Amino acid sequence: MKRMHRPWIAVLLTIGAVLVAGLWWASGPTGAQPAAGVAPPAVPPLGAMAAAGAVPPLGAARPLDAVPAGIVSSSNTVTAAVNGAVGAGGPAEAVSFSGQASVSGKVIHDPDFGTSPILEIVIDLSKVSGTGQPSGKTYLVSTQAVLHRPLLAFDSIELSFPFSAAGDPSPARAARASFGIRFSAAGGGITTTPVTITTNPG
Amino acid sequence: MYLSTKASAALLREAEKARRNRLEIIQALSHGQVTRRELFKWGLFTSTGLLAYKHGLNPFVGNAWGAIPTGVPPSPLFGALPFTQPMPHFDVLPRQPVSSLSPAPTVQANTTLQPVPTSLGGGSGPIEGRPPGPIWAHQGWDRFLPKVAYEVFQKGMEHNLAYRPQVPPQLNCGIDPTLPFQACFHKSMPDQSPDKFWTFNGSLPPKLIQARYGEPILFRHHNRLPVVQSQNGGFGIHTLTTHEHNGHHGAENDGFTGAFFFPGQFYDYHWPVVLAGFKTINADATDPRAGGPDDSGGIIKIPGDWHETMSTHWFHDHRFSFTSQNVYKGIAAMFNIYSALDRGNEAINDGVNLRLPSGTAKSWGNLDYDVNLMLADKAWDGNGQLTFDIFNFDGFLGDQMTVNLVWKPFFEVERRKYRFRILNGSVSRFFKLALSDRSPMIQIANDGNLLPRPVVLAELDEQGVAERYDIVIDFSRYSNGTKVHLVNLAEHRDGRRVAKDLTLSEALSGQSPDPCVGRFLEFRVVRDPPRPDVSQVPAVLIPNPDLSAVPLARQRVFEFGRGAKKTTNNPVSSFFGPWGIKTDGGDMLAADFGRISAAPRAGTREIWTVVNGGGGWDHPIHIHFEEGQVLARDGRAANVPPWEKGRKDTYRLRPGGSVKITMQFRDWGGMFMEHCHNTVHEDNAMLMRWEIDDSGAPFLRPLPTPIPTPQGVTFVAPTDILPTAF
Repeated sequence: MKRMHRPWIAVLLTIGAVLVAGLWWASGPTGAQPAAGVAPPAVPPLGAMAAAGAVPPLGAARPLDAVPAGIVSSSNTVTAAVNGAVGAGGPAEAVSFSGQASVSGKVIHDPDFGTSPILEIVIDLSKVSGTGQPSGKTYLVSTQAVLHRPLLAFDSIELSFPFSAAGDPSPARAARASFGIRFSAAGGGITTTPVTITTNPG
Repeated sequence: MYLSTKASAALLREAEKARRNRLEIIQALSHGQVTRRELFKWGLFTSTGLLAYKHGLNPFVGNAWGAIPTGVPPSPLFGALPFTQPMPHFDVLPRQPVSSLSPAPTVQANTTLQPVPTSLGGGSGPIEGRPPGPIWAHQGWDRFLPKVAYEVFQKGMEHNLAYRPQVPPQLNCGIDPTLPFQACFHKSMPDQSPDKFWTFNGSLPPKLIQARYGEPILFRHHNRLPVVQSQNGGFGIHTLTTHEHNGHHGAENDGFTGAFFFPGQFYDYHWPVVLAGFKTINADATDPRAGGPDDSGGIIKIPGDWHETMSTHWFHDHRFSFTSQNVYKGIAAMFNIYSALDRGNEAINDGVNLRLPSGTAKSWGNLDYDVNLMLADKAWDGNGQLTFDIFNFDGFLGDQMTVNLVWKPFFEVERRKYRFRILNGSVSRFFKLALSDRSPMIQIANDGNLLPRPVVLAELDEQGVAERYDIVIDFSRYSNGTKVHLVNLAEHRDGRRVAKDLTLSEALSGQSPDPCVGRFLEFRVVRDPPRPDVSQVPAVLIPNPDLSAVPLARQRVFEFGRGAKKTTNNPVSSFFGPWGIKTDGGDMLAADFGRISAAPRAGTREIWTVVNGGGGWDHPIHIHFEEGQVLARDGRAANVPPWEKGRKDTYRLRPGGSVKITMQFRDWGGMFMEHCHNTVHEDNAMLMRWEIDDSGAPFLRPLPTPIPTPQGVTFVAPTDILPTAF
């Protein structure tokens, strides 16, 4: 009688093992998919996911949406005095400029290939304005520019920018802004020379 | 990059020998005689994916070559001089009635069988390559029945006997469209052979579709490329999938990278040309700002959010791991969308039309003063035939600039405003454009979307591959006879990123080692306009849609970097390369279009942050299907420049940078993609699949992955579903 029961036990054990394996498989990598007809759990925002361990943490120091460490070594913003003028040309009057430029510098390294670092420069001239001579009319500048240049101890920057009379942006003219950027490895940031505005060379 | 023209004869000989050796390997690879895995095994690639330092193969190897950035011989010019040939307007594809298509288009793929050539395995297979069955049926077919058809044939280059610029010759540099249009970059250069250049309808200039809201399109794409893969001129693959970048339609029409079709087959793409939000916003179609132009100067009102109006698209091949080669071979075209707001007629003054520079002859879609520019760097061999080098996974750089696929042309303009729709159609190269006299330009659109406000610039921002910048240049400031040039300021040393944004003085000095820096398009101011220029650039264009009322469902982070793992092994859907994408802090993974990395729920809004995992490269990241708004750069809203304050579909990360985007997911479903549009990076595993697949149902259901063969498409379960996908 015992011999007659053993095959049934083996079959049941096998079925059980298959079921357990199937359940294990379904809960494995592909088992992450919700079954059809089953509402998925509410999806928390990123921070909550990380806190709950749903997203493997990359290290306490680095938020998930941050650039990996060692790539950006310094980032600072300085303001520079702006002065200069463009001459009259044809019907256009001369314009003298003043104000302050904002210049940001971000040093970017390349640990993967070991190439020389570059400097990302963001120039904002929106706090610069001009005065027409002789009209006294106000001229506005709204330029921003983003440049990538090799990181040097000193680099000369030249940027063409448009300006136009307040309330009349369409017939814009252009001028040239020139300045120097110094990078101090010791200080870890940039400084600039004053920004000079001149007529664009012909 | 490329060897200097002043390089010694011995150096050039060695470089040419190395190039030929590499070409042999590329051919063997593209013919399927070897696999990329075998090349790694043989030590021809380093672990980082770079060409190994082997003499006779890598031009870096040996003596003084270490100083040479790369080592391909310069493309010969055959005596051609810059700015001696006209730049053609695009070739406008003819509109056809849908009834002209035979067989008639069907909702699900047409699986009628036809014989399959023995070189493709023999037997029989379906006439349409679209995956069969309900999942890949055209969504919204009955609601948006196609009203116009385009039927195009992908084939090798030949002379164009039916050029349709849709502008009179005097506005197309005097080009006589009745004469055959040659298949070459310059009249002094040889014709391209049919195996080197594969364009839509097999000819130049590049093609243009003029679409309008309210007029759904059936785009039937026939694959007429050689059935024998080895007839590819050494690079490119003869299977296709066409992405209408960045159309708002179902995934079956999106050119999914794994839904490719074979020579002898066609694929019907249904592009309904709808405004996003059509199910819930302005659903009764009463807002006149939401619409498309009719044929008599009026508006066909349609449902949807007029703030989602799009203008400048393009379409191109998206074949998994071969996109760079196929697009480089010419499988790229542009797609202008006309709307109630952007009518393509500058004279219609109805309070809705923005009256942007275009023309007046036709009620809509005037191209007289609305000109598409496709910029692309190319290279050719000693015989003048297009050449490509896949052996640098950093990216491919050509040494010659083309505009609309002709080399350094001129373009005649009148003294008035012009709109230029500028597409970066390169493989890896970034551009940064300025006018040679430093005059201002007005940027009105970014990635095909009119900005909330125009931005006046004297130097445009860097422009990554696939990005589109629409600009207006006012030539009325010049006198007749003036010549002014478009100048590229972005200097490359390799295909990873811009090495240096030059000042205009530096770019014009001729000192750059990058041959694609400097002047590349000459505008010739030739006459006063025959009629007054009534076009405008309004102070307000298209304000952004307000997403704040849409609940935020979740956030995701995607990091684009190197050192990817290959965790799946499906031979069709997975690919190994040095590049990869890390999702929500998980592993950096190589591409597998069978893997689901994200699955936003239909009708929700999410915030995605795309992060550059390195500082030695930049990536223009393209997210299919949905336009996004940039919330922050490097974590700060103040870092978003004015020209990025509209909607976008391709986001330049900048080296060591990040971009935070908000998007909502609605109207359509299926499997879409996110990838780097430096197509060499994309082809070397920097691509992932995401999908919207709940279709409004209260459950999620991962979609099966199509695996195409000439004998028919099979489906397999996803190879992987990331734990944070759903």
